[in-house]
Amino acid sequence: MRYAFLDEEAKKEIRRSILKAIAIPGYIVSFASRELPVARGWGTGGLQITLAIINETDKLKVIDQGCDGSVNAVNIRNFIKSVTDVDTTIDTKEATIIQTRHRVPEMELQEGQTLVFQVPIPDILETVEPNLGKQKLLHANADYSKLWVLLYEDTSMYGDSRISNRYPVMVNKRYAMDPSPIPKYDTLKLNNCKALQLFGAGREKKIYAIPPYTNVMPLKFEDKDFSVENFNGHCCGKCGSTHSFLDEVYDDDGVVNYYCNDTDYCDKEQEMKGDK
Amino acid sequence: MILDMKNVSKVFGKFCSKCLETTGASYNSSICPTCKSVVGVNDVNLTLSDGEVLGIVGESGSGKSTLLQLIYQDQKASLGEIFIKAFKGRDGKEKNILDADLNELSYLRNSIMSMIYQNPRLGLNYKFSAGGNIAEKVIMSGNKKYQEIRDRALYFLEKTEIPVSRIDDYPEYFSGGQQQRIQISKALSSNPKILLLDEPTTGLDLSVQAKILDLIKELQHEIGFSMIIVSHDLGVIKHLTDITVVMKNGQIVERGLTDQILEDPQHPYTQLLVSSIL
Amino acid sequence: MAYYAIKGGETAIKNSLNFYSDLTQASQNIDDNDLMNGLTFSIDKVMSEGSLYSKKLAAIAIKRSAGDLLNASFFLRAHRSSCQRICTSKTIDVNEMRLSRRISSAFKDIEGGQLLGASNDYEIKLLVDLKDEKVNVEEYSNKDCVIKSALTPLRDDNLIKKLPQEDEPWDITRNYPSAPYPRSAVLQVMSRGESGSLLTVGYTTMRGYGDVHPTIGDLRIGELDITVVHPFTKNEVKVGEIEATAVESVGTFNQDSEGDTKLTTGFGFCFGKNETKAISMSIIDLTLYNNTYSVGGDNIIAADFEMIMHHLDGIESFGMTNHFKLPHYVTFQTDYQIFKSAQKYSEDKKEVEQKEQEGVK
Repeated sequence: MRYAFLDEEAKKEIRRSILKAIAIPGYIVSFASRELPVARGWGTGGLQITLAIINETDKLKVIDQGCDGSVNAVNIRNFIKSVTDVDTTIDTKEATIIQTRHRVPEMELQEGQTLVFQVPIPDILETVEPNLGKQKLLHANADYSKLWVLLYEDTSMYGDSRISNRYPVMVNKRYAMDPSPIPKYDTLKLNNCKALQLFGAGREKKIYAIPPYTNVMPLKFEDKDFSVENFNGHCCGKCGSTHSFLDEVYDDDGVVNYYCNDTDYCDKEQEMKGDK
Repeated sequence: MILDMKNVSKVFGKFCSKCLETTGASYNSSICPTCKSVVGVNDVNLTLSDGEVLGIVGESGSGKSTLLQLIYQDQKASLGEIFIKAFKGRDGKEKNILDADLNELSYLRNSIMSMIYQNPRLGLNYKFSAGGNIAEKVIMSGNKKYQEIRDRALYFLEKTEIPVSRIDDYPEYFSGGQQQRIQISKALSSNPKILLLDEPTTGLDLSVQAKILDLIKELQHEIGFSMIIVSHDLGVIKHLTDITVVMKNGQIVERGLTDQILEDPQHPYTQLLVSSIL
Repeated sequence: MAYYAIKGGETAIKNSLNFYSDLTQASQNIDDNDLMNGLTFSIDKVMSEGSLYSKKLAAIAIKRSAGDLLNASFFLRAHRSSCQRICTSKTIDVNEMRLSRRISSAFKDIEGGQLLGASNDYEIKLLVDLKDEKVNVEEYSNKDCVIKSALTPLRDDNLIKKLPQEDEPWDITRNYPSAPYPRSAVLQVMSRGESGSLLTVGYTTMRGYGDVHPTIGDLRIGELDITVVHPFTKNEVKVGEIEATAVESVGTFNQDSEGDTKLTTGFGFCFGKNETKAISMSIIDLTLYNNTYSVGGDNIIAADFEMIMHHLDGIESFGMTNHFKLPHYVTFQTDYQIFKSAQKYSEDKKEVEQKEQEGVK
């Protein structure tokens, strides 16, 4: 099998699209997305980006909803390894490429790392205008009034935006972007990130990017705070962290427990606490 | 002078070289005998001063609504230039608004001008609440502070006598007259320099008409924007405007002070119109 | 222009059927059990769209259709019409399902756990196998595996919006309702609907033509008992078992009829293993009863009852689409004649206008 499964023409095209996307932060670039042995909607966009940029020196980490052990993450990681024989890791610090679904790692990323997001819906305007032709015109016009009016209506009715994940962000003060279904908690990590952030939507055939050190701000009224997910004072039942995104887990007795969503972060915290 | 229109024409159809010469008031026809095109607006020149209220009167098909749509760019003009004070191109020189690019057009339609349509369905988005409609205009003219946006919406709803408790209701749950007033609120909320009104009260009952006309007059005095009103109703024109132009078959046949035109019309067509007032 | 009509005739039809049976000949030799055990998903799809739970009959229908599954569903529907209705069973509660698979996307872990069961979700679609792996399989029997829906805690806390419910469920095969459509009728149409059609409509909501934001609260596959009340003894008697798929989706929140803010849900249910169809159905259910303002564009097919009630049945749409192959030469002749008249009319008009123009000059 060819290195990284895709043929060379496909890889070239994807790389050109990535370069164009990096040149215009937040702008959506179309690309000829290939079908892969993994289903559409299951990460083929992120996968194509990873396969296009990966090489023998890379260290790959794959997480799904924060967890390396989640079935889909395992599946994707195994597939990539089987077509590249690349070194894989669960350590966020060691990884050079991190492919993720729905979360940004808790640990701050460094220069030289690349975070590849799996994206179901590439255009944040889909929330208010499903027609693709109209979306393109609105972006060209920087006309995000519909998103703002939605924010206004939600604020009037519910006190805050109804949007829970995929919270709209303004990239480089120009394009409104869909950060993929990450919680609002993670939206703040996109700003001024030292790592390169790439976004791939396989089914919708789009790529976009945020180069390192780019201004990324959530869309919000100037006189309102940006509220993030709140864990009501709970801390992680395993490592005691109060500064990470927590999962609510029901056990077999119907009791609720709280644990760090980012499993690598939790392991490291436990190690540190164990050392003391 | 806040608005300057030069040789503006709009032709629907093939548009041949004979269209403008062989149609108009003296021909009593808007249809080009050569190519059958319809000449909606025929070589119109018009100016508007700061704070002035201009009325355009004429019968159906005279081109008055089309003229308004050409200014607001709901329709694309076939010929001519329109200049608005303070609208400059990127080179700093006065620019023909008909050459505006997408961003400039957005600025013109959201910050400089506003349009109020006869049918509120054209001016309002029925998927947004009353407050949301006004918020849209305010946001598009640059304000991103929630409380200020909401306060502005409440202010205008109050000014147009819509119960402020209904700010979050959807337009279809209001009466026709109320929908029109929400439209007025929306149009004014962005502080336009020029307000365009296309038959704003046609179709409403007389008492509601009177109230809305009074409201518009009061707001114009208070805020001081320039205004162009299109109507076939001379009563409306008399009530609100300083200057009037009369249109027939796409051309302006008479212009002057409203009082003069109504009291002492010169052009035979104007005379006909004025004498038709019941 | 001369128009040649094709003359049908009994002989032609007989010959055509003969040729067709040549096509289906090879599949007649397939053993019914092989089909039922081997092509289990095909069997399940046909039972679901055919609206008749019988694996044996589904197998026969598939063989007769040489693998055309919609055609096979058609056979089952026709057969269903010839079956006498004996009685109606007791209403099934899917919480009592003996589970062979149960997942909830809404929670990381839940009471009873995430039981992946038999699923091709994580299958890497490579036609050529990269390696042959031996795995230690967990022994698993579904006999005692009965777990209530993962959404039960939310229901118990009264957080979920109540959906309309009729006292007596409708039977659309006996009486097709008109608007306003009772929910039981809407669900029946979807449960018997063509899988691809449901998939398309459901998909539109995921691309912005709807304001639902679904998460799968509970997806389950397993066995359900069918019980009836014995006509003489009046006792409840189990008469059989079916395998079925049930999905509960959770959507966004809105206000119910009392003005309280509640979470919205949708329900999908099909005979056999039909996850794609059940998921699509639950999302359409969600969209139909939660059409809102502010977002979603102007035309939301999934929120339109008329679209759902009249366009999802595979046998109806398949029949109508294919009926265009029948002779239509009379209707076409009438169309053609109208066209000729209109054409002549516009040509004549042009001539007259030209003459007028010349007359003027």
